Amino acid sequence: MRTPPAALDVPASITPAPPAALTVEDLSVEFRTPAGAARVVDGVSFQVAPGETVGLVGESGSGKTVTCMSIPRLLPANGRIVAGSVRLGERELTGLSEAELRDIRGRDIGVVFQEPSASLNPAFTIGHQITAVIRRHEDVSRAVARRRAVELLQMVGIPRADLRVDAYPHEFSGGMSQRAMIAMALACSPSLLLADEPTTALDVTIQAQIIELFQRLQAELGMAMVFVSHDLAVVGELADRIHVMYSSQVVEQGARDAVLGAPRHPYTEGLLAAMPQLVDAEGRLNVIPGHAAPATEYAEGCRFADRCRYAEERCTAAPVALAGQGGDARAVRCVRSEELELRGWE
Amino acid sequence: MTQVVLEAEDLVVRFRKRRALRATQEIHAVNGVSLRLERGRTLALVGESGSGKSTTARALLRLVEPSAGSVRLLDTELTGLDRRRLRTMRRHAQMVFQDPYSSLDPSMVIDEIIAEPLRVHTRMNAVERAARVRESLELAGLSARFLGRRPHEFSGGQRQRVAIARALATRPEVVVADEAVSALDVSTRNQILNLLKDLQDELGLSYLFISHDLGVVSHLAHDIAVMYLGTIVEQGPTAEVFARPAHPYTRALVSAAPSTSLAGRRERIRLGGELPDPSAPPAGCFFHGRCPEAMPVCSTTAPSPVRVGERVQVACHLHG
Repeated sequence: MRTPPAALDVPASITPAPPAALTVEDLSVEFRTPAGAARVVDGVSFQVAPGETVGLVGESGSGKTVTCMSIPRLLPANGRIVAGSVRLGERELTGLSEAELRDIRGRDIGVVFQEPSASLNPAFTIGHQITAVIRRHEDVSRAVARRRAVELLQMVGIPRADLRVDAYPHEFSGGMSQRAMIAMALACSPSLLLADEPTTALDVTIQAQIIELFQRLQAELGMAMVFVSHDLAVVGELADRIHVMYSSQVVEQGARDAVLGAPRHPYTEGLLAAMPQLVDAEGRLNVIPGHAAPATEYAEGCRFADRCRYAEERCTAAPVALAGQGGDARAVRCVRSEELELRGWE
Repeated sequence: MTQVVLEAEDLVVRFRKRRALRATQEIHAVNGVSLRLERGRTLALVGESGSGKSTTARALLRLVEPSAGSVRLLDTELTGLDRRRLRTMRRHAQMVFQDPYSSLDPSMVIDEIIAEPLRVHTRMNAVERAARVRESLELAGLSARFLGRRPHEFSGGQRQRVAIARALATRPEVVVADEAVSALDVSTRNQILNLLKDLQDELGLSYLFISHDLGVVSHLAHDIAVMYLGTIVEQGPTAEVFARPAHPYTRALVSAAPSTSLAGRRERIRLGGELPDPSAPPAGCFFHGRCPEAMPVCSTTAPSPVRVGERVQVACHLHG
């Protein structure tokens, strides 16, 4: 059953917007490359309220990870924010010095990366690394910080946390390491948690455990969360709202059920149809033909047009704007969106 | 009459692991695996990391040496073959690996990459090899204009096509694909999966398909073997195993996969804990410590495989 898209739009006036924990406005990021400046994030805007999860979805090279890591400005040396605003609560982050940002990272913004083994220092115990984060930001004694570390490890479901606190990262399995990373990210009760493909490297039963852990922690702690993944099914488990990215831009955004159940952008439809549980009439897997252009060679008009089965001449004529109510509401970057009948999940 | 192209019986692989200041440990990577791959069909080996699925696949081709058991490729017993005869047998079973970025030599042009198994496993001359390279490239859906170029000029999907062309060069009966699409984006992944299916129809290939992605497996594999800590806990036709998983571990695995359904999300079977240490596997059923339905017998006696229904085999005390 397909719900008429109009019914899914909730005008902002009905629900009084709670003050956002994070506001990203018109964010653009460029990488210097041998082929020239590559705009890897192009005019991205979204807000996240406390207790809410926004999912950023897209394939590799879409700009979802860079968007997320631009928030605490964890960019590679050749990357910089060239336009836009990132506000944590009321505080603008884009103009801050590196030293000021270091105070914010770990205290107000926690980050969980894809590879826990690459983010934990193998030379120090788990407990040492968590207490270091706590004592970096708060004036507490070693003993108090250590007690907190044990509580945090308990909270993320590590058995015998009072003993495991003294273990080294190599003594932890992948799932346990990711739990420890989450404990470290939450050590100073941040208002915002950024999670970049945090379950991608894990096995399915462990992935299911970590998804449940995120759900429980968010219900208990009420932080805002940005969840980045290439996997729509995983994002669908966690996100309240979803932004689909393609070639550095958001091409579609909206509430979870709206985006997954009634997509309005052909790329979103293609991604949804590509799940291997779904096949076409001949029993073949659905394919999005071709591949995305590199960021230095984007087309003038719609960037998806060369792969889009619905493309017409006018799609390539001029840049396509993200049309909708802006900010948080439903919006789509497609000139044919109104006339297309696109299919989502049921 | 179906023809078995690859068969393993009671395959065992043990690794010795030396640990500083401690006694050498033995890792039981594969513990008595028996399976058969039939011509023109796909058998999926699924399981989590540490389950022994990749080691099983490598032992089947003797890329790691089995410690015990038997492997037959096209009715030839592989264990005990000398190196020369093993090399000629290997042209019948080729492999495609997960990461097309590390499995292709960056210093070689793709003609050389695809021709390499021909040089190693056959006595073809240069002209024959060149012709075969072109055919293989075409089979993998790449045009001849890619000849003379190096891997870094290719996208991930194209590289995986090169890896497939290389695997097909010797015209093998069996292709072992170890997480061959796991590193690819979804749209590219589906192109490669459709290609594998077309090649199977066209050439009658048999696939041993190793994957952790149950969605992909449900689409591609006729048969499935679920591995846990070096043993097969359940095997049978994929559709039957997915519809009525008989082993508690299979049930948990099927229920843990993220759903594409918006209405009514399935209730998950929660598995506590993680895979036990393979150097010290638990007594009895290896899964009993995490099993929601464990009984006293499970911690003392290892279950033997029994049939449930026509074609499904399960190793679990709940059945039998």
